[in-house]
Amino acid sequence: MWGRFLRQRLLQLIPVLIGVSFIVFLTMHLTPGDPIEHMLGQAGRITQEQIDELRAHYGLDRPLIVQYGLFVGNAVRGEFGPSYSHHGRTVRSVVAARLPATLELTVFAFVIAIVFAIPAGVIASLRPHGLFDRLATVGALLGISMPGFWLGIVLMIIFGLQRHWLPISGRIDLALVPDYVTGIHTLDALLTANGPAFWSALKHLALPGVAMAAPMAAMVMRMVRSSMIGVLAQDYVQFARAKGLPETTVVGKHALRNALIPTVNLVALQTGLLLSGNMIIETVFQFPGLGKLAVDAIAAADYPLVQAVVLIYAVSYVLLNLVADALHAALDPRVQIA
Amino acid sequence: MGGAGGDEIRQRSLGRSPTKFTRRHFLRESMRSAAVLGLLPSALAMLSSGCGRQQRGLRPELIRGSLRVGLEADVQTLDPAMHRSRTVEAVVRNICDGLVARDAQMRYVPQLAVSWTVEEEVRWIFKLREGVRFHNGDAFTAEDVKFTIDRIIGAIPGLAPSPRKDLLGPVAAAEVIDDYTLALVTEGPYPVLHKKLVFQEICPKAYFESVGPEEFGRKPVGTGPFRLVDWQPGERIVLERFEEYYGGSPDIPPVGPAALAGVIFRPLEESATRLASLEAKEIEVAVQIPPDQAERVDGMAQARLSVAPGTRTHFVGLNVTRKPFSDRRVREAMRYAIDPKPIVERFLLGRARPLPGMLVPLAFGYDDSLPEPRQDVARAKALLKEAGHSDGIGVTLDCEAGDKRIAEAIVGSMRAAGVRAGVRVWERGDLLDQLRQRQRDMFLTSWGNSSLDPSGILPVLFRSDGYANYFGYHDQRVDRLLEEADRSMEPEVRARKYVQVQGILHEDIPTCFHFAQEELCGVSDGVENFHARSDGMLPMHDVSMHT
Repeated sequence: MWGRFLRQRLLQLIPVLIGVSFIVFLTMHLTPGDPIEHMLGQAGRITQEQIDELRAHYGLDRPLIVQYGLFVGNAVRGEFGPSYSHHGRTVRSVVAARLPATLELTVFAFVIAIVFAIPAGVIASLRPHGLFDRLATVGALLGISMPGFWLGIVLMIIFGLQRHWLPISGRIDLALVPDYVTGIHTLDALLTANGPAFWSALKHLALPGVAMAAPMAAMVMRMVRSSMIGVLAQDYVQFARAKGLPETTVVGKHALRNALIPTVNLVALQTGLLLSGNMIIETVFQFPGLGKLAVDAIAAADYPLVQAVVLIYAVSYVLLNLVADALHAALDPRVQIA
Repeated sequence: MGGAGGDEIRQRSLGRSPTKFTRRHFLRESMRSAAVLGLLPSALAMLSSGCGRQQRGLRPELIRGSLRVGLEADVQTLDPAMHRSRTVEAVVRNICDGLVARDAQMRYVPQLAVSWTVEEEVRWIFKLREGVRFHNGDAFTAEDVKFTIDRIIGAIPGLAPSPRKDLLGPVAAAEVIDDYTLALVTEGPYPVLHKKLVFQEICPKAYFESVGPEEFGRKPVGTGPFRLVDWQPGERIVLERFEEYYGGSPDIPPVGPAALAGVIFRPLEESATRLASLEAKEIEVAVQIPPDQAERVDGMAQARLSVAPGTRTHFVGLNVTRKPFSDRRVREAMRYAIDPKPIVERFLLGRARPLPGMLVPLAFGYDDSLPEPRQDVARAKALLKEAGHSDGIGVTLDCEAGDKRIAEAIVGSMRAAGVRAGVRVWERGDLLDQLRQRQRDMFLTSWGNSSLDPSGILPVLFRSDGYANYFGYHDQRVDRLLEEADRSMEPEVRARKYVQVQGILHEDIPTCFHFAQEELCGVSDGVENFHARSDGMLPMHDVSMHT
């Protein structure tokens, strides 16, 4: 059953990817801006001949449909050809170099958001309109309304410049770079049992992680709170209490599990946003991940690189939704995977 | 939803499949997938090692003894022949030397060349420095120079074309005469070849051929004062002093190995982050400080500002083929309508210099007799009236998002002369498309000319067939003079012709307002001998640091 579910969902990925790639391809080519012009910039004695030569080299002189066909052919083989803006490098190697940083930051921000939001939501729901609830509401409001880059800069000024507690940019103290295993510094440090490196990587993750986690934490917290309030008013909760179950069991086991059902989908969507919406935070903290790469690639009209990054985002969205559905089924016995 | 609803779902699914997926199943499957996920790190490691990124931790003493530099842009490659980025060049120049270099005053001095002579106007004979070694131990010979030049001019089949080809102009061939003598042959006289060679760094032929272009772009080897230790794209480039360095150009003392143990370049593209990093002592040098942040650096307790005049000319261009600017009097009115003072002082905070024309004062052949730009409202009004616009005119100034504030200042200053102008902001690619099709009337844009020779900027903008002749400008005298200056081996003759061209352009006014911004770097107090340079290069050979 599980296998079939996976197979089906993964098959659904194919039309999604074809659609996404086509739309991205078309929009990139419809947008004005020429990769070769970007490559050469506005300096020196550029000639038309030189531009034509470069255009031919990258196949940009061929009809659009041929270019798309070549792209799909490459993509199926997991190749995306040469990058236009990272000369002499393949899109694959450019992306592979940036993926670990983005994964690390996303997972870190996700963990912060969840660890903070779910307990806060539960506590707030136990005494609606109490002091904690009010404080949490204000916090959530701030978390949602503060733009990420602003929060990032404020955190940077307070904890980096004024207090010197945390580093303001980069991924790790360069003297402590752990031996290379995965490129994810925290994981590499754990795998090589390198405590100082782990600590340093964690400190570098703290500010961008918090800035990224804030809106997600705020939304998840609000969601947990409101569904908890709904669930706690249900008869079966009263019944559980009447049976004399301890309050922790009532809240933690009977109420929370049901309250989490609507939260799961929100978390999946928000995690997708974390992964694909982190270009601003990555820029502010100079975190060398995919988001910044994508923005630069769009500015440079680096078509293959943009395609590759967008496809990665699309795949991760679909996979996250798949996980959410599976979790949904696990939490709610009425829902089954077929 | 009650139990009945649940049954319904169950029954529907039963119709398709006899088993159901319960929480127990989920737990079991989760354990399995957790086991699979455990394999993820190793899979990632395989992926990465497949890309040749095996790398070990960096030596702490190298990190401690290194100067840390915050760059304004990311570095996409370290292959000297495969980029058009000043940032890449500034980094690569520390790894790879060229035949010719420039000192801080922008004078041309031999580096890997010892001397050169020109025969029959088209054969440049270079004597090369002997006893120089690449970082991998290979000896530097004329073969390496030939290979470097051949790769750029596209004489090696099978390699991607170099975007730096135009920087070598009409160079047609490189001939090895002996191990330390080389001839560069040009199609017709090319008086500026030695000036253009500062943009080309010499690559080792044997190493390149053994590792291939992609690997070379990741791990270049040169003869420069530093060798590459580690490059993590988007994050850091770590260079270490090359102990067997031949010493560098004798014309730029001191000669010998670099003073610093190493250099760490970090792309910090957000200027706020770059400055904060300088303030938090995470870097010692921050390049490309925006004018509005210069004061902040000046105010820092432990850092100072280093300044050099810039080489990129920003200008307001006028389309001479379309109304209203097809009328010379209207173009001249624009010149007098714009007030350079508040723009430079208030918006660029004095960190720029208004120019009479397209050339910066450092440039070869700069005409210092041209009048300094200034506002003359009465004259502008009179000229407009004469051209039949006694009620003033309405125009649109087009620019990119980054130039919006300056464009607004320009527009504001023209109001007094009866020019009702609006600013239209474009996405860069969009604007360039429009400009190339000569669809815009009045626009603010820029052109860089790091070579500081007019041949790198005037022909491309003002020749009838110039690639960036956005103005539709066409003047046979200018075409002829530029052609002659391109072909004359006599510096005095060239200078004279460029002065003439500047005079004609000043009369014809295809461009009406010019300025060049200063190069600003923030430098920590412990750093010695580091100076901002006009060409934006960051040579670290002579820099030292005490803590």
